[in-house]
Amino acid sequence: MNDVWFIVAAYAVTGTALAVYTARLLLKGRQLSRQVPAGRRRWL
Amino acid sequence: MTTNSPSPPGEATVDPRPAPGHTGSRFTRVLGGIVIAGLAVQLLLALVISPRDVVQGDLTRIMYVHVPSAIAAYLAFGVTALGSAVYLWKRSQFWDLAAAASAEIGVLFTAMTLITGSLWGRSTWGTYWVWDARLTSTALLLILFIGYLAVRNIPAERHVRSRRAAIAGLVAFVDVPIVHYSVDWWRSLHQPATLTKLDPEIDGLMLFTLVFSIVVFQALFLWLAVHRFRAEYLAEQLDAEGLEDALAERRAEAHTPAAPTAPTPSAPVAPRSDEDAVPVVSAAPGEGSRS
Repeated sequence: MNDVWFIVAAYAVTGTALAVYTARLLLKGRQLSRQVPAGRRRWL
Repeated sequence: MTTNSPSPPGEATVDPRPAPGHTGSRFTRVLGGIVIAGLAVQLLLALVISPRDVVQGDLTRIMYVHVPSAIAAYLAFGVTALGSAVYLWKRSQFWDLAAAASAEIGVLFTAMTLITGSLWGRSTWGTYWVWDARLTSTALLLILFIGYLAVRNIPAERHVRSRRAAIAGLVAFVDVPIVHYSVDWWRSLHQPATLTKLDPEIDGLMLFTLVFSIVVFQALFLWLAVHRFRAEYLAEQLDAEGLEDALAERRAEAHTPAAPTAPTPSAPVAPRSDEDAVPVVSAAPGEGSRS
């Protein structure tokens, strides 16, 4: 592998990890948010 | 268990506000927009505008994701340590949840640091991994905070779990200064810190790109941490609500007068047949009856 592939791999790993984590986090928040009544959201 | 419900357990909470259905707010939307724009500019700076290094060539471009990830991980674990210390002092649920939310994001950034560093190491040192002080202590940091998250998942009462996690968080944080100073304390393949020097030996545009990337990653950490905190808080509220409902149900059962059960001679209890009887005979090994 030449240098370019290492750079591509590093950015791809970073981008994919952040995208997957963010998507899962937002979906989880959405799912939980629908189940918790508004009266229980003191910090939201 | 601490709850934030304004009404007593078992009583329906009436709140005219509609449930938002997400963990966003005006603050997170503005911050999210800034982060997305910042990441786009960061990519442009890191991959296009920033000059090549005279020694490593284009490979230094990995630095613009590797170093910001590492510093974001330091910040995340710093927040976890702070949250843990304040929890042990004040017993505040807020700080316990802040510590938990931050630790998970710190684990993500540490894993990213190790992977990008490994790719950079393969192309410059010729190996993906070496048991160098910096690399080993960073791997240990990842393991310690995965352990912290595991401690949080051990079933226990909330305050017991939070106390255990707070102690684990403080113990794990001891590794952060070890990681940072490992390159000064031991001989290492890894280069020493560049940005802490008063006169950093790095080109002006490269320095700007690096500092900009670090700022963007810190903002990204903050945005993720707010969302993660809110999700964690909602999960706790859901658990508390489930517990309250169960307690209310039990109380209602306890206060319900038992229905009078007059003996009914016209309906005698049928004698149990021998087939229904459970034999209380211990069979010798190998002689057990098969039903």
